[in-house]
Amino acid sequence: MKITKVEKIWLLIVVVLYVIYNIPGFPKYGDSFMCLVSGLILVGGIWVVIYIGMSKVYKIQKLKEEEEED
Amino acid sequence: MLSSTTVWIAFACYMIFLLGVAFYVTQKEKKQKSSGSMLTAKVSAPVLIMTYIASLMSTWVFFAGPGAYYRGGIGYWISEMSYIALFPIVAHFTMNKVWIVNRQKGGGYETPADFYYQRFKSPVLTTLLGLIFLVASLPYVTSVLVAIANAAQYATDGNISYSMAVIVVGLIMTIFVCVGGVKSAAMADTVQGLLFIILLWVIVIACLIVGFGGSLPAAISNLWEQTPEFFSYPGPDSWTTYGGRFGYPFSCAIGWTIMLPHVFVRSGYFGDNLKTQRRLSFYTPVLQAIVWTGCMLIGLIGLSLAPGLDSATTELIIPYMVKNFVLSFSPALAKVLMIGFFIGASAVGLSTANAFLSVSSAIVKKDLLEKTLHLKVSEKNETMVTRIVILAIGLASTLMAINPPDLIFTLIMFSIAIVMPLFSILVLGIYWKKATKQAAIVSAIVGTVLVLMTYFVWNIGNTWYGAIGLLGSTITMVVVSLATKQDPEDSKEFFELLNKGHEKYYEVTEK
Repeated sequence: MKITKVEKIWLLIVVVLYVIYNIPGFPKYGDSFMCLVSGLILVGGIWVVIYIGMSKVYKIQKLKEEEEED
Repeated sequence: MLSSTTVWIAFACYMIFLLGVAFYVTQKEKKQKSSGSMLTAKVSAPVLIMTYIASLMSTWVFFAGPGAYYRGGIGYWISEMSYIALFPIVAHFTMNKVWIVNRQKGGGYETPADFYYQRFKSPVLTTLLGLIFLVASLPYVTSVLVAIANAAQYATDGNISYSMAVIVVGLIMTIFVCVGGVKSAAMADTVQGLLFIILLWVIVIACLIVGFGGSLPAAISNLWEQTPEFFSYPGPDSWTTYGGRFGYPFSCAIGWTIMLPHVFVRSGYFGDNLKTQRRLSFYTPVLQAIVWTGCMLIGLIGLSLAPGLDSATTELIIPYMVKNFVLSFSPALAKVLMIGFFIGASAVGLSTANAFLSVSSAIVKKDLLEKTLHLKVSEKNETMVTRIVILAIGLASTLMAINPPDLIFTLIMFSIAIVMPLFSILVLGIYWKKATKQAAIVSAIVGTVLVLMTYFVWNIGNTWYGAIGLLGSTITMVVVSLATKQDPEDSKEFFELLNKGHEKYYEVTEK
């Protein structure tokens, strides 16, 4: 069972964004502006990458019709 | 605020609805001349999505959730959004593979350990997993009873005592699951799931209207002046530290949405086909975001209206606001909301408890009685044995609920933490042929010990939950696998099922 290139890229980008979001010390405690901005960019980014990646992976790994008849 | 009669009548009406669903499902199966185990299901996308969401919602939505946002702030919500988004990718790489193997094997898996056994062929591992999953189930079912009993006591100003509510609800819940089984629980979730998501938002809007004339900007502005800590890390009660920002959502991404036994079987076994599995992945984060944002707004409005509440009270922020703000605005609306809160909490809580009881009974019957103690249960006696096990677990949870810890949140998160270390065994079992059963066994033990130490020795369970256990189990899994050998014949069938399943269900067109 081979992991396709698209799946690997999908996983990698999500992991990178998640790690960046969780870098300790950022944003500083008490900084409301950066809390909201970093949340929008990084967590919003995770959502976007998840759904775009999902659609790309599903296009590459199409479900066979006989499975739908199952 | 409500009389005990009102609360019990409302509860009785809800139970009649559930029994009606159980009767309908049973009759439908008789007509179709299909039954199968009462612990398996093959459901379409709408049913799967709603039963899965209902299992996640649990008592979180009406209790621990709004209170957590009150204490944790918007940073807590952002951290939750970070894990909610991960479900599709985690499911794609794990639970859809679990689904394929189960389906290729005939669709008869009932417990998470069934899948692990297929891969590792280890009765010892089955026993260990059975015990760990069972240990996770009991606090969770207990948390449901605690929440519902607290709701009943608060809603009736103590006219219904906490203990009485625990006992009555515990008994009714246990009997329902004995009668209906898992299929009727899934069907009930479909009907009630959307209803209670709507109810949650009705509560949000009602509190906003009562507190701030319907103006969310006014609520936010008031909160910004009064408790600006809400809008930054670590939050009003310093709940969302950098460690907590990672530890908690990471635990939820792995433990809550995948590894707890009731969601494991739903996301891995219950879908009727892979299209359903994909729809589950697509819609779950969206629905969860809608529900969890509603909880956040309740916490925001609650903090804006009533700052300085203690932790235990914040878990009851919804009835607190109904009693202290909505009641003076409109007694009729307050009564409706309080009944709605109680029924909503009961409904989603019981849904989760039902799910846990069902899978726990399968774990005891199959993993422990049959596979560990080698007690053969005949087909004739299977339903009776399952019901006896459900009765025993239901009663145990009821007894635990009589004297529980302070926070429902604590019970829920401990359950999540204790199953997290098993995720590395799942992933490495699927993707690494060299992973051995010896490593799986040691890894499960090491991971569990580390979680227990996280909570009871290092006292950092409320920040790191199961993350340290997962790290330990992952390292152990790799190191011990490299140091041990297992006959490749043991896993040959597993990888054949997986590969043949892939060929059967997917058409891969990678450029």
